[in-house]
Amino acid sequence: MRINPHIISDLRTEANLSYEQLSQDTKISVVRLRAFEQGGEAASDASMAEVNALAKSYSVPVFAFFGDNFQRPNTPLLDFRMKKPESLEIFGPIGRFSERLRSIHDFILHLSRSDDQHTQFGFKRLPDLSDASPEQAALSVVSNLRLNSDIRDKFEHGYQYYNYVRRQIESAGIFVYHDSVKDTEVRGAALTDKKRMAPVIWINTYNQNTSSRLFTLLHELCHVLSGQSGISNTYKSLNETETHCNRFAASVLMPRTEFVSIATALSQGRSFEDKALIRRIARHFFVSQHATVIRLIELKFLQDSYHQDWISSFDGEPLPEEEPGFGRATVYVAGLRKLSQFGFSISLVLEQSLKNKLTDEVEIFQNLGLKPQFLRGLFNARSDRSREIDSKVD
Amino acid sequence: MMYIFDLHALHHVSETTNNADRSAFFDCVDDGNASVCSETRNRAVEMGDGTKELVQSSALINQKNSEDDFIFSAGLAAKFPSLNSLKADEQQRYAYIVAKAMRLGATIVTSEVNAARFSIVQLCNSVGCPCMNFASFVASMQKT
Repeated sequence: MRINPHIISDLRTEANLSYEQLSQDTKISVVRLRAFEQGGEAASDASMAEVNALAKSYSVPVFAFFGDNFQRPNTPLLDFRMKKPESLEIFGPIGRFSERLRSIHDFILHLSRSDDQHTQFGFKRLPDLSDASPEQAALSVVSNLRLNSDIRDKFEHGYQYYNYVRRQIESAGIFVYHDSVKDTEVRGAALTDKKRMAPVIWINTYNQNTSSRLFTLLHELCHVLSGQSGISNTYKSLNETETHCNRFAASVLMPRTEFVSIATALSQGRSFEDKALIRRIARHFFVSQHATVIRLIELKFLQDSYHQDWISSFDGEPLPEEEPGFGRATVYVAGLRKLSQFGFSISLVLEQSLKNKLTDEVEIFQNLGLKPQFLRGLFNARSDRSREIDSKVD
Repeated sequence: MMYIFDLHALHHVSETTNNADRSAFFDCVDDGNASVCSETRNRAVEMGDGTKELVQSSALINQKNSEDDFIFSAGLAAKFPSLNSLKADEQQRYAYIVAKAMRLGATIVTSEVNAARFSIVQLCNSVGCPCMNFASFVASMQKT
């Protein structure tokens, strides 16, 4: 079939890709890719498999290659991993995933038809914290979402506390979505609009354990509260925005006064470079050892240079936060698994929207990939899990 | 007359307890006038519920896409930029069903919710593609 050589070339230039990179992703030879772009015979006899591979790689529909031109919508996401955050590159697994995230956000936005989403679904309101310092914003969030240490101490395990924090954040109309994308350089993302309607936080569950997810969740919450959309790697803050969000997350999860007091008490005179001590402090706050090291440096218990030494000490082995999964899903419970993926608020919005005939099962499947047979289980799991959390806290 | 069923319509048939709706659909299949686009069929199989069984067990004609359909779809997307707001696979599904219906002179049968985020009815209206809801389909089958 005859494809448009200009579109092939424009999409590659837009994605800033070499022929070699594209060849690796599509399994089409460099020679063939060059020939497509030059037009002529190769562009006239592209196979369906080749066109499909190109469409998948660029996240465009197959018909894109058959028109006179193709305009891709701009991604609303910034890449906060860069020194100067700029638009996320659309190529590769993260680029493809960003399209999914946009679809989820648009769909929830569509279901939140009323201007006042908070009244519609009974969500709490959080004050505007865009001008607050990380510490001030943290204090406000801790008090509004009941994330104080008294509540935290009621939980025995990190995953239980994570579920609680997630539900509290979702009760403010911020949707938390879990999905696994094979890229350890991306821990999560936030997607919101100017009016901060239906903001979505994505937690990359690939090789990120509960404590690391907890820190990422708070980090992304900070982006939402500041009205920013983008992807982050919480452990590499190369710009002010990321440093700000990390300080916010650290201040919520490891409040300065409590952290100093616990760290001093647990150390019993030992050096803070002691890995067992770092592990104990991390466990107390349900955060990752990596986040603990960064907090110890921030509060001058450790030298700046220790961060790199600590990473190097693992000698290329995975860092402690890079453990796969919750390790709890030994029994397959479909509803709970879906709740873990889609969260409390999406479940609530879907249930009410179905009831009010604002959507149907097919539209939900189209936009979220959630199959009809899992909906009832998701709604039941939400009620059960909420009751379980409430019984711990109240 | 040839009918092309979209995903909503197929899901409706698989879920409904209304005998008139089911009879109309299966009569149409028996007459050899019911077809489905390959993209719609693939999505129905992914859904995995009764819709999957329906497309796999009934003798719906599977309309595969040709190069002409791709060219037609590209033209359609250029005329209807809202298509761009959908994920790539959804853009394909919507564009191909309309392309196929227009090239075959078939009528699309849908049962979307009125509040749908992206409506196939809007797309059909904007390009002049015949389209009907399930109730109209049942009525037209009863007439024949």
